[in-house]
Amino acid sequence: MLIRYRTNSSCTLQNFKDDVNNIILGNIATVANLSAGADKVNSEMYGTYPTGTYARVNATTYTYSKVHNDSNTGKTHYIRLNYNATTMANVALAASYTSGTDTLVNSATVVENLAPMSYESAYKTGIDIIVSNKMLAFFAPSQGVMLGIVDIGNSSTTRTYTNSMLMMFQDFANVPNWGSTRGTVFENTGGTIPYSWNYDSAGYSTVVCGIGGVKTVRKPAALGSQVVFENPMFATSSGASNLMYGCYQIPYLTFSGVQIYQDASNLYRLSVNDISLLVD
Amino acid sequence: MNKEFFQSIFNQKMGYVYCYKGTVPEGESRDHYITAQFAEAAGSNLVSTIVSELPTFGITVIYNHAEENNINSANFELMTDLVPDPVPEPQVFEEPAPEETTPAEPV
Repeated sequence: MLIRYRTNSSCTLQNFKDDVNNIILGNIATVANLSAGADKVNSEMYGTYPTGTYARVNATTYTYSKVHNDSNTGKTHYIRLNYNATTMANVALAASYTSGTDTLVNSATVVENLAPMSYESAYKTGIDIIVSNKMLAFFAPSQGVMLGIVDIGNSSTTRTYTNSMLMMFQDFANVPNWGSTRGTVFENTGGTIPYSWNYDSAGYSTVVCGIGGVKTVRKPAALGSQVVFENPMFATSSGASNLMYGCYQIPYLTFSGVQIYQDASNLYRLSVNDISLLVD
Repeated sequence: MNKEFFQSIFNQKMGYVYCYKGTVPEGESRDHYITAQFAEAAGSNLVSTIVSELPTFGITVIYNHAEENNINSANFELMTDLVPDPVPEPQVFEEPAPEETTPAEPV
């Protein structure tokens, strides 16, 4: 499911917290269910909610469990949205969780400072939120936020060292030489697996990844139409590579900015920096 | 085991690394137990940590993603921060001005 969440000038932080929480938990069936702080005229929804994937595990903190999309409940990981007085200050992703003390176990944190921003028609300002069985992602280009928490597939490393996480952070603004970042991002370190086997230390720790795919092309399908090829993407690190579920490389600058399109199977996708993200 | 070693293990350039000096009770999950102990020492459940065993050195360390070291517990011995050391300013040597020489007086 994708919600193109737009807010009005009176949106409070509590409105924002409530909306994000309800979007993650599937309590928003239509944009009419959003809070009074939402711009319901300009907000949009696509796709279907992934039932049984997300659950809030603590009533005070905004901490959620997420089941890996291969339904391997042994690979449930935890996401915490930490708010300060004005913004979603940072996001943490953890391998495990202790419910009694509401403590994340083996986690990494990324700073976001994501806040509601009044909708402006000229810039289409807002926050695009993907809630699928493969990822939870927040895109707000006007605030410099392009964060995905993405399921990854097994590799020879994760099958051998089975405590390795199968979810990662990906900063979709840090994709060297692609899309709008072409010529501005040179270091391919946008990915982080908070807890995975590290061959250098012969132990578990945080692994930093790049993002890799195979170049794709556009082909004419018929007069006046064309086919956009999408190839799977991988998290590449000093260890083995992992498939990034729901992430596909698309041809250079097929779409500019953050745009939605339907693929050949009529599935909705959100595109950013030459990467296509499956919404369902 | 210096700062660079831990920077490469945790892939971080902020935060602190501590050596765990306590013991984990039998039957307890090591990572859950040490994390809970650390959260108690930090006085907050909102910590972001990684527990890592370093078999080569026979120790267990915990990385805390924090801007300040506020841990005061015998169970957690600070090993290092991960903030990169400042690069020293390059020293600039001024060339001594050539000594003025008075032309020899004609004989």
